[in-house]
Amino acid sequence: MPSITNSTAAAIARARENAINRGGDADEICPVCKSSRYLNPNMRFLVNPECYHKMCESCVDRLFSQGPSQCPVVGCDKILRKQKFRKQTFEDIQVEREVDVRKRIARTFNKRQEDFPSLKEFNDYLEEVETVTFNLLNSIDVGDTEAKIIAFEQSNKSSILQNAAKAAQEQQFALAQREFEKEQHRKAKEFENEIEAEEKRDKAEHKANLLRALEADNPDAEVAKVNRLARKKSSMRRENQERRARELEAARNAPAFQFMANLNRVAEEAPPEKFDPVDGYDETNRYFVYRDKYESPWLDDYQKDKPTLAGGYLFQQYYERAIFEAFSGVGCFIEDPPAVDAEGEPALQASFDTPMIDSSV
Amino acid sequence: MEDQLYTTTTQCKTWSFGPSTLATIRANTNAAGTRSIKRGWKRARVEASTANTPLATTPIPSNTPTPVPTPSIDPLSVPDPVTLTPTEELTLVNYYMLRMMAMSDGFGFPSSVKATACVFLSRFHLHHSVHAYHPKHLLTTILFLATKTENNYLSTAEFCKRIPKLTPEAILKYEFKIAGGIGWDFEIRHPLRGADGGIMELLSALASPNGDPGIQVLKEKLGQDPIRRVTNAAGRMKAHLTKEALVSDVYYHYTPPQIFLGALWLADKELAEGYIEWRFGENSTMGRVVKKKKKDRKGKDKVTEDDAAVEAPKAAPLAPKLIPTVIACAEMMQKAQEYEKFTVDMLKKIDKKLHQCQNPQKFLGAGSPIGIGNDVPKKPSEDGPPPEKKRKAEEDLFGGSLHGN
Repeated sequence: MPSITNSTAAAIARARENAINRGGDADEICPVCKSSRYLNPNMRFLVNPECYHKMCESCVDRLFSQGPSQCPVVGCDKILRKQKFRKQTFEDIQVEREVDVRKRIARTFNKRQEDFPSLKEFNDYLEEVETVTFNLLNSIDVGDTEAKIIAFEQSNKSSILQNAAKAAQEQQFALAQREFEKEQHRKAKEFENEIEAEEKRDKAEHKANLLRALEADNPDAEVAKVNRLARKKSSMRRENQERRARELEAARNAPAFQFMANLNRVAEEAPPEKFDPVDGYDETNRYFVYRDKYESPWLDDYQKDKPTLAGGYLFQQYYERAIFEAFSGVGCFIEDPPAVDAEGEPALQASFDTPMIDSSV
Repeated sequence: MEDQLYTTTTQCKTWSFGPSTLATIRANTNAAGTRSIKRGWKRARVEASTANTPLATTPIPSNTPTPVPTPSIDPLSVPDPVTLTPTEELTLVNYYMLRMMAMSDGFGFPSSVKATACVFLSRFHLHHSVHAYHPKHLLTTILFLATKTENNYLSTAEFCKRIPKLTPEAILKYEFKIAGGIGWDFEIRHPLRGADGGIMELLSALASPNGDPGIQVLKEKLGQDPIRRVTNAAGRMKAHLTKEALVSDVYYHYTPPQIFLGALWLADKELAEGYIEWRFGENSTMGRVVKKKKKDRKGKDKVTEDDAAVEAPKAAPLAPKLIPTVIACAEMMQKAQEYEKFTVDMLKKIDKKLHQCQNPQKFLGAGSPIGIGNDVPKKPSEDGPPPEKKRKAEEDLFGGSLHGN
């Protein structure tokens, strides 16, 4: 039936054309063999972290089964291997690449804060690592950066291994801890159910007892007896429950392993220095003592001046300020600092010497 | 606490230098200024050699003492101008400082405004060469800034009324530059109020009938009428503080109390010496007289006096170290008096040199004036581009309009 085949072929061509033109659905078509998902619903796309060019599984099989070979994308001269191909995790290929790079960097640069004497140095280290990562991501000085990474790897082989082992161990502990918590949770739930059931049973029993007591010859005395019994039983039960709850609680709070308590504890730092709100200043005056009244001929007029006084001018404050300033700094002697002379000066120059001519050049 | 508080001020931290440091800073600033002049001339030379019509654009004042370029002169043959030395720069700054003092007195501003303005000018030119900023363009701005700083605000309109041909724009033009140039350190610790305080205390001590032994010694030293003598000395001291202290470098080298004592030393040497001995000498009670007196009044006996003496920190007396400092300070102020004696001729010579440095266009026939003050209103094209650019950037807050829209 040639006519049907023709129309099918045309439809396929149209679909392919559409898919290509739409752009957004470009991932529906393998860029290498141009076969579309329309024809092959089970098509899987794979990428190789060498160059991140996408192609379908059949292309990978076809091209790389014979061993490593060049990437089929035009202009890409990377040699790819079949076993390196994998499924893309993130939609954005840039993100995929960044995650790969970061994974790799994190494997090598796995120093921890404990390895550094202070937080500042640790932060400096982190920044350097981030610089390396950034360089790799944005292809800046790739050669230098790679050399640096390799040098670091060589010189820190043992510590990298150690830290990796440590991290694995920690992960195991965390897993164990999680398991333990789950178990505790289950136990608590069981306990709760048990209590509920017990209460229910007791209630039913109490009711039955009551009925039986009412049937007896001396109902009042019997009822009182039953009630007493029930009260006693319920208080006993409550006591029992509380004890068990306490036990459970204790078990939950206790870590699964004894050393877990010490695992992530930060080393005790020296207690912070005592805070001094006035920063070491005191109110004692070395050179003088205030008086209530001073001889100040130039203020005599003002002291009788009504507008001044009505305005609330306090002569005492003027006195205090004037006397203070008379002695503030009298014991400071400004000299040429020999050491600072060399260092301090360029800084000064840099911050001030900005003639406008320079800026207009 | 007094000294401790002073050390926290910017005056102490940023603006106090030893003599050699100060000289180095001045030399560096001068070198930077010289460099900028050299650059400006180089640029002007290039412009002059590219301009083919030197005839049309060369207005040459014929009576200049500098080599007069003929219209056909080769711009490369005109030698670079001689730049000012740091000393000449300082002389020029100090001359304009005196001018500013006169201006402040004309306004009738209090002495604190005057003093602040002078310190601003001095500090600004410590880091900005006069080659780059001619002080004559900055005076009004600095004075205006000082009125604001010292809480003596006068509106720009009022301010301009008092000085002919002054516009608010001219005042505000350099305000930001100056404020930045003095490092935003507006608060100046003047010795003026401290001097008032010192005199006040001295007068009170002299007036009280029963003082400590130190004041008795001082009283005897001062002769017949100690109060009158102190008052007279205080008047002269104040004059020194509002003139020599500002013109000289004492604000950089000494603390306010030391400057005040230096001025007192200039005014009355004997009095200053006695005062220092009384306050900071071997047996000084550091003014703790009052405490005792109060207690005496309350009826307590002499035992408390001993207590107070024990209580007082027995530090080494300050006087032996203080007196040489004060003398040096006084000498520095004394030396500053010669600035007033500078002849007009000498200043004119300096200013002419600076004029040549800053105006290569007058000698080369091309180029633009150097330094901010030289915008000639008649030739807007010469100084045109920078203000144009600036204005455009200011007007178009969100950038220019998009083309094609």
